[in-house]
Amino acid sequence: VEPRRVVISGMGAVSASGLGVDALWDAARLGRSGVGTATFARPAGNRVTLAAQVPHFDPSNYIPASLLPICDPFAQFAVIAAEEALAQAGLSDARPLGDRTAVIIGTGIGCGSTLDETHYDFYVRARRADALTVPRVMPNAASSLLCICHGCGGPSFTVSSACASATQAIGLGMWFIRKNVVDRALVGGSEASITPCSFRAWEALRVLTPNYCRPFSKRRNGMVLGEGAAIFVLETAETAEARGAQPLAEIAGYGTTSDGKDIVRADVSGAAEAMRLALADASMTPDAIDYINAHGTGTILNDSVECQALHQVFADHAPSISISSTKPIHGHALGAAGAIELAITVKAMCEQIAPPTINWLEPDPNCDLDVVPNSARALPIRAAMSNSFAFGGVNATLVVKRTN
Amino acid sequence: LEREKNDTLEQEIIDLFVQQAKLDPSRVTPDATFESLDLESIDVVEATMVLEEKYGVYIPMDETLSAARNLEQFVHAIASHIRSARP
Repeated sequence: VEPRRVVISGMGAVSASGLGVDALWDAARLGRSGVGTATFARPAGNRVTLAAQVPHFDPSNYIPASLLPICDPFAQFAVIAAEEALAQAGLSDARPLGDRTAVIIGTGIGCGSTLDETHYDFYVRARRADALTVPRVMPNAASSLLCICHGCGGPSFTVSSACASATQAIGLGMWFIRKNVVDRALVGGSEASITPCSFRAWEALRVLTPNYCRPFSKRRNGMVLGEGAAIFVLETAETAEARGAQPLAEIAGYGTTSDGKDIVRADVSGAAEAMRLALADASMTPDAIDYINAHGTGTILNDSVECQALHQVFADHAPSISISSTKPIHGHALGAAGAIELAITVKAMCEQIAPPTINWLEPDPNCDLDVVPNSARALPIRAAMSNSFAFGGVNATLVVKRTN
Repeated sequence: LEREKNDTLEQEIIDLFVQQAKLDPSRVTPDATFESLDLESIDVVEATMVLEEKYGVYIPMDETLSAARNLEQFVHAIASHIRSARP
């Protein structure tokens, strides 16, 4: 029996570029960074001042009043992105989506700002916790709210594997459909964890840049934290065709590995194996890949480790692949990163344009690959890859290809 | 005098590092490596955090710092960050 093919029939995004996939893609393609001076509800003297935050919007314009009290910003982002994805898939009026629809959402931290507010109120201001704190802070709030909003009755859960969360959630959803556990899945990732305290904790790890995030470039000195969400509607190629839906791409392969070594230090072999497994899962050889959206955080270590892993996997083909990191545009959105970057990867394939790695200064011998420096390029893309490598030694890779 | 002042900063950094990472001072030689001192990456991260707080600077993991292979190079990298951040 032919395995079931899984397609993306809709996607939505919330990012530093604003609401919507179009805003995100335009920024990625044009190299327009959403990074700015971080704003906090309670400034706390952070030493690093840069972040890629979602521009202010009024959530009551997008979230039903009955749900708003239990919506942490990370859940708001997911609900808003899911609306866009379902609209594109032509499923806005399909509620309830039913028992054969799964909801799998990645988040690295979850309800960071609600926890921050609640702890501050409780310890510092001696106020009692809001009665809805528990449902608001649970990491599965986003996945459960999507079930409530759209009447999804299949399996729903949250994947939390730091910066690989969204990529794993998307990969699992694809596998669930392929293995006939469900016929449809809402998958992706959401993150809204930029609080002064968590920001300080990232400063302590010394992976944040004080000036520019410039992945793969000589003189790079770190990443910029981001936030946002991207949600995808996955379904079988058959159901999409039967509905007359126009799939954006096929999710052809997923691979994930664990280093089992250092809790923060990336590892070449674990990363390489995730890419190999994703290619094998897609029944593809390395030369089928034309574009890679790299994890590319902009830290010294990640970018050189990722390049070594890419050389291992792609060998002679490696120099001919266009590889970019779009993190200087939307920041490192942690548990949402893989979803935001997959949305960009799918758009890159649809429009046959490789988005650039901006802020790039000069080649680093440790990153000797074609990183599409500073400006986008027209590129025939048959299939593409998106990488996510997380603290904890979790590696996850998705492979997408053109439908038809 | 300038040279002396520089050396003082470097000695301060070493002293703080030894104290924070609970190192045996007799093993702390300029060519000592993190491996020879049995230091995990997170030990180095924590010790550097204390240095940052003491000197009121932010020290990103840039090329100089990440290329440091022994204690001497590490201390020089930290010291140059602190100096460049001073008015």
